[in-house]
Amino acid sequence: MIQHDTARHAADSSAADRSTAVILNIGKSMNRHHSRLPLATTVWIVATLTPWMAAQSSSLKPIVIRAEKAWLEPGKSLERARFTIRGDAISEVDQFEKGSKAGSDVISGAVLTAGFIDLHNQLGPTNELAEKVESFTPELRADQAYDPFDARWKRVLAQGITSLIYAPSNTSIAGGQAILLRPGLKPEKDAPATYVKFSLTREAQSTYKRPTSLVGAVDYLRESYRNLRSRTPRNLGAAELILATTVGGNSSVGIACNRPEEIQAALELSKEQNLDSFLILGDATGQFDPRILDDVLPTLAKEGKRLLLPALGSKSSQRAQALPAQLAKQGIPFAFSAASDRNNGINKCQWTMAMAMRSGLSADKALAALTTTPASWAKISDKAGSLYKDRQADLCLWSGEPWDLRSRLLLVVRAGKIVCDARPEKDTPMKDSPTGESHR
Amino acid sequence: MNPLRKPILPDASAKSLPMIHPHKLALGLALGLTLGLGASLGAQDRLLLKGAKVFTGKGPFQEGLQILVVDGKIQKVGKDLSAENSTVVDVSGKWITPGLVDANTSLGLATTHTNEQSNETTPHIPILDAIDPRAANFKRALGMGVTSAYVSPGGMNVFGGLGVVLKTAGPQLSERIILDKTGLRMTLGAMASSGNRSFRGGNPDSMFYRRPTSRMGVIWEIRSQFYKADAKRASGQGFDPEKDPATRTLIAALDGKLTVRTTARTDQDIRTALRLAEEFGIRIAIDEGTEAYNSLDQIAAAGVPVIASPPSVSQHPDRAERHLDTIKLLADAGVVVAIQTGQGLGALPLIREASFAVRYGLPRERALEAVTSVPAEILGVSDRVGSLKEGLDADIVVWDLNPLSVFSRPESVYVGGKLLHDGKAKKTKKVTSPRRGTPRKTRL
Repeated sequence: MIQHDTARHAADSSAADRSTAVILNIGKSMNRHHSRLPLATTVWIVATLTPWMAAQSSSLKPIVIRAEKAWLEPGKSLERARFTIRGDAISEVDQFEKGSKAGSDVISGAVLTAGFIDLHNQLGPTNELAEKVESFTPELRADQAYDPFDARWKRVLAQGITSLIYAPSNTSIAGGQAILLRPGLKPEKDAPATYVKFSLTREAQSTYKRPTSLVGAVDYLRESYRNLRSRTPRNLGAAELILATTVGGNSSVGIACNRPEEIQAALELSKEQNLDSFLILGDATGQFDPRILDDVLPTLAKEGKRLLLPALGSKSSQRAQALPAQLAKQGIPFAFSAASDRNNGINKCQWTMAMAMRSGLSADKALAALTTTPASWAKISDKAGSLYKDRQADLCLWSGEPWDLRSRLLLVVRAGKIVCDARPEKDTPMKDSPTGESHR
Repeated sequence: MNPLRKPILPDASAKSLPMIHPHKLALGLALGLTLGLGASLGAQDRLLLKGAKVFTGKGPFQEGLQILVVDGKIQKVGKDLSAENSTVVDVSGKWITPGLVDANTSLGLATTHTNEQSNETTPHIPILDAIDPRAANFKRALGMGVTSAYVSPGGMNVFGGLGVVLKTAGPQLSERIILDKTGLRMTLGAMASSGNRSFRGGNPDSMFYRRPTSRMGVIWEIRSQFYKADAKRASGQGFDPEKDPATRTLIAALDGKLTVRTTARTDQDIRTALRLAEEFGIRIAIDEGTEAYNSLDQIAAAGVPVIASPPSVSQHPDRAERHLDTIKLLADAGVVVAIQTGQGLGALPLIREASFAVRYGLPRERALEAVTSVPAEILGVSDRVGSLKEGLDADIVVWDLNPLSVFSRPESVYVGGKLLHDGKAKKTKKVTSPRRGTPRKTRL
């Protein structure tokens, strides 16, 4: 299944597949020379080393992953798929020969999907994700509070989430900008904001600072937009500059709301200020009562508003389970968010897909709600959410279909590196597959 | 053929249809459409209620009146109406009133007093943003015959915000609104200033540590805000109505375009309210008016309506002393008086408060008017609700007994001509053991 071999063509030959090799990191051992060299010497070194380095980089060890089936995108699969990964991108997608011995390196029934994308992640210390003295702080960036060395990112990766949008908490009415991150990797410098986070939940209402109520929260936001319009562009402060980007839908707004009146207020505000907004449902623990949507579903369908639903769990009500299918039927766009790291040993993404499908959601829609839909909302469809050539190498290998609760997540590749490996026996041929025994 | 690709319509080749002449087909279709459409429209949209004693919003109950409802509106109230193409509901022996109108409630709000407390004067904030349309107390109010209600901002600020009049039931919140941003909540007395302190050695820099902290300070705040708004209105300089909605709202009140719902419970507050109305020329309605029995003549002379607090409630804020016959005394003095259930989340049955008032001397007709047509007039929505007249919304309550009887209950509540509460429907009782939730075991 996995090869770290130099020669990619050897992928089909079963014996070579089992060998392992280390991916070279050329830059790792290079030391900095602080002494100044004469120009001629420098030119000679560069001229000599450049072809050597080019040769080394061209022979970078690729990772080849083969699976019996791969979901290139929801609704589009490729049988006997072979993915070649060079660096952090998928360099080649093709099919391996039918006759090759499946038992040698392909786990029978293994299915490959794109890495999942979580549009609203707040893992980490909650008190770091909101300013406590002021509730209106759109100028703040969530990635400033991000700790790539937090051990909990492993749990996030183990659910198959390879990209996430790190968002400010719900305790500020305009907490700041949500930034695209890769769990466990250092953030890109000056990465653009995916959306500006608003919150109309009770968590944003304080006893010691404005606002103290929902009406006050809505009034605060309205007042901010009024002030914005009354100022000339030169006089805008940092907060207003960010707020200005949300007017007219230039940048998205995610509005957290968890009660019927909060949803009504969010819709009203979006309409008034002409915001390109989506509603983030569920509180910090992912609790959510779907009955709150009963009155607004026709409005949501009419206005094409988007919903970000919390992950479904074992305690989710029947109504909560049936909601995704209902939304799909009415044509309301939605995506799932894993919401928290408290997975209790359960893969929340898989569980969510399974429970939503149990209530009538199609497999394509369920998979799309974790891959292509969040990718398009985050405007990264050209990089993530699907498995095509030149896309980011974010892949999940499952022992069966990802929405089947009997399947296990065997392997997670994030940015071309294996970050989670739960194969029964790593890099060795499966003993049970050729004999027909299940590895599950 | 692939079974999944099976056509939904039957295959024409499989079975030929009998031959029909085209002109006969056309005639039949036309006839069928005329009769069928007419019948279906009539069955759906025309409703005739007959046989009950009817209170139209004014005067006594009248026998023999029939009510014809077309497309959710009352088309006619009279005797011997034509029942053609109508669904006839025979409610003989029952009592019909207009849907009750509760002139001051907290229905749909999460807390009794919903205010933005970071500022003392928030006159422009609409309460509509905080209303949960699916709140249980809306259903409870509907079940007791209340079809329209004024939802008020809280009384913890001097100027609390703008209320909304809406139906207690209906498809969506936007369709239930009768009048939005109406009634500016202004609170006199101790309640408005009660939170403005630094408790137990708290930080004096806190936003709550501010003026006013006394009854006098509350009046100072009101005068101060009205004078500022008046000055801006007079000069017209440095004031943009779009950028300063608070001042805009206060100017609307000064111009008499907005009723100021003045909460005044004690005698001194009621007198202050009357003084303020005279001083600024504002149009006020006194909310609660618990001690109004002391100033009957002054209230009547000022022509100020009173939306009286529920007589069944014994304890009132500001230590106001309740008299059970206050409503009767107000009515006798010629004051326009309505009854409210007040700002509790439990939704008191409004009709029982009217019964209380009758028990303590208010004439029956006046009691029913005080929960139907009078509050509708005070709220400025009498062209939509509060009476059974032609052109008004068909908000109708059918009671099994005289509604002022303590045993009465609504059998049917129609909102916009639709039956949205059916009190006759049998409710299945869950058999439970004394232990909560566990079903009782059947003994054999």
